[in-house]
Amino acid sequence: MSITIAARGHLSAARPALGALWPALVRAGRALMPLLVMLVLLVGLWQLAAGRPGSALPAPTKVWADSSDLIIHPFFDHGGLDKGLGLHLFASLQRVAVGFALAAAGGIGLGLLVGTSQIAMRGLDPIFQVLRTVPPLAWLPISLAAFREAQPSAIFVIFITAVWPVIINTAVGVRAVPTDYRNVARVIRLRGAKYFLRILLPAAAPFIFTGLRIGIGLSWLAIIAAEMLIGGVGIGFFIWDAWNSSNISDIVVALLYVGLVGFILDRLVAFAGHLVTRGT
Amino acid sequence: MAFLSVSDVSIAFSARAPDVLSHVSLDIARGEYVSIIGHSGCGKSTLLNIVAGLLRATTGGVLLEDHEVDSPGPDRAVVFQNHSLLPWLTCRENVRLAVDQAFDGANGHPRRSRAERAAWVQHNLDLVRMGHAADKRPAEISGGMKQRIGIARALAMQPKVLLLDEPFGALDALTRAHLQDQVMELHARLRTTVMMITHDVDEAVLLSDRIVMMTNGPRAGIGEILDVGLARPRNRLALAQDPAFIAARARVLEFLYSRHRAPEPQAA
Ligand SMILES: Nc1ncnc2c1ncn2[C@@H]1O[C@H](COP(=O)(O)OP(=O)(O)O)[C@@H](O)[C@H]1O
Ligand SMILES: [Mg+2]
Repeated sequence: MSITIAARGHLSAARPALGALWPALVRAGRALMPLLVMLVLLVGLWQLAAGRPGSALPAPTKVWADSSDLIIHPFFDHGGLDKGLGLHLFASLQRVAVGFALAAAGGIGLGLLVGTSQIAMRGLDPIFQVLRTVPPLAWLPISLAAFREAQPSAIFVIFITAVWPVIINTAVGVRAVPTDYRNVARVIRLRGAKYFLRILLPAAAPFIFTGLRIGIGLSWLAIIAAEMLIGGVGIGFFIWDAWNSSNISDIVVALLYVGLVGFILDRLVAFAGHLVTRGT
Repeated sequence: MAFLSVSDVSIAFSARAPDVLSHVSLDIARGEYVSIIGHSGCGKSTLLNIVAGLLRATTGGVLLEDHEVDSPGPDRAVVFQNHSLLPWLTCRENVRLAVDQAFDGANGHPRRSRAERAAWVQHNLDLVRMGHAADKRPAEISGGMKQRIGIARALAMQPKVLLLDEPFGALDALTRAHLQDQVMELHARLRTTVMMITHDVDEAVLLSDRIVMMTNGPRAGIGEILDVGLARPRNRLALAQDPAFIAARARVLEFLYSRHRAPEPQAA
């Protein structure tokens, strides 16, 4: 590249910019190198293992040959369920957004209640402890029976999956407000809503975000499974549909997307937590 | 009538445990600087917390200007041992929160406007020479600076009594000396009544008008009270050779290490 630039006579202008960028590029390269090597190794192994004729699973080359369309055109829409992966993911993300928002609001509210009130704690905590062990999919039939429709049932499953860690972590955070902060609040007579907003909530915020982060991960786990059962547009059903039509390559591509999106969701919540708690 | 009067205070943390403090009485005059010294675990913080209103005495009580202390309040500002700044607020916001509360018109002081409160916060930050780092968060400044912000927060409430719980205990010797000088200077300037807990004999003698020496717990009480009687302003270098300083120091050391030695550490 530098040669092209030199030939065009922008040498003096390009030098400082490139000079400043170069160390950063080298650092980024060093940091990413192990990952790239690992990826090449893994894909190579996969190719070796699945590349033999008669293999049950497709090798990377076959996945690319069968399903490169899915990667290259994520947003095509041929009507019905014949849509690009991007659109399926978008439908799933919408469900997660609604279910998770409800879980966050309800979970923080209930967590604050259980964390601050001894009576609420005695009454509710045992119930939470039992209900939170119910696997997400076990809620699906009962929510289908209650809502009689796929969409609200899926959202309910997200909600009921994500709400427990939010409740429990919020309650722990509220109870763990250090005595020092409580004493400061008492000396300056900070009470009621002011105490809640200025001391309790900020002190509990790191715990709340831990709960939210666990919750978003569980939401993503649950939505894929729930969509397999309820059908319609969504990445979960896409995978199930691909299985039924023996498009194993499509499944492989979809799994990669599911993993990447789950990773991004986790990082988004972590980032939001970092912004809000400002490293406290 | 004493300005601050602790009368016959006893406290037990449970009905079955022995009293931690037993029949403690102490009168402090307005503007006086009193140190409480005693071995770790004898009940110094407990006594300070009772004066602050954070703990209730089992029997006996505390009077401040003839009013009974029954709850904490900004007229008895506390500087806690481990600074206790709120980490999600900047230094300025930490002081500001206390000022907003103390001057909201319902906590003893007349109400002040937003601008007046902002100026008062700045004034107190400058007082402890922390104006330059006011917008940093506690995690970004040193231990000594945190303690200075804690002192600014307490002073900014214009308390009747300043309660210091081992304010310099966690600091290195140089920082500690520096802060001691600052506190002496502030006390000379503001004439605030101070009750300070310490386990440092030199610190107690250097800063105090009187030193209250506590016996070991349980059922700890006041063993002896020493009038320091050194002229102010005091200079740590000049005092190092001063016979009165040396005598006072010896007296406290003798109390702590000869007559009331630390109890053997018990297996936890
Ligand atoms: N909240 C509490 N509950 C039970 N015991 C306590 C409590 N606070 C202090 N104590 C006990 O009271 C004694 C005095 O403690 P403290 O006042 O903190 O001592 P000091 O400040 O002199 O080191 C100690 O034995 C301590 O274990
Ligand atoms: Mg103590």
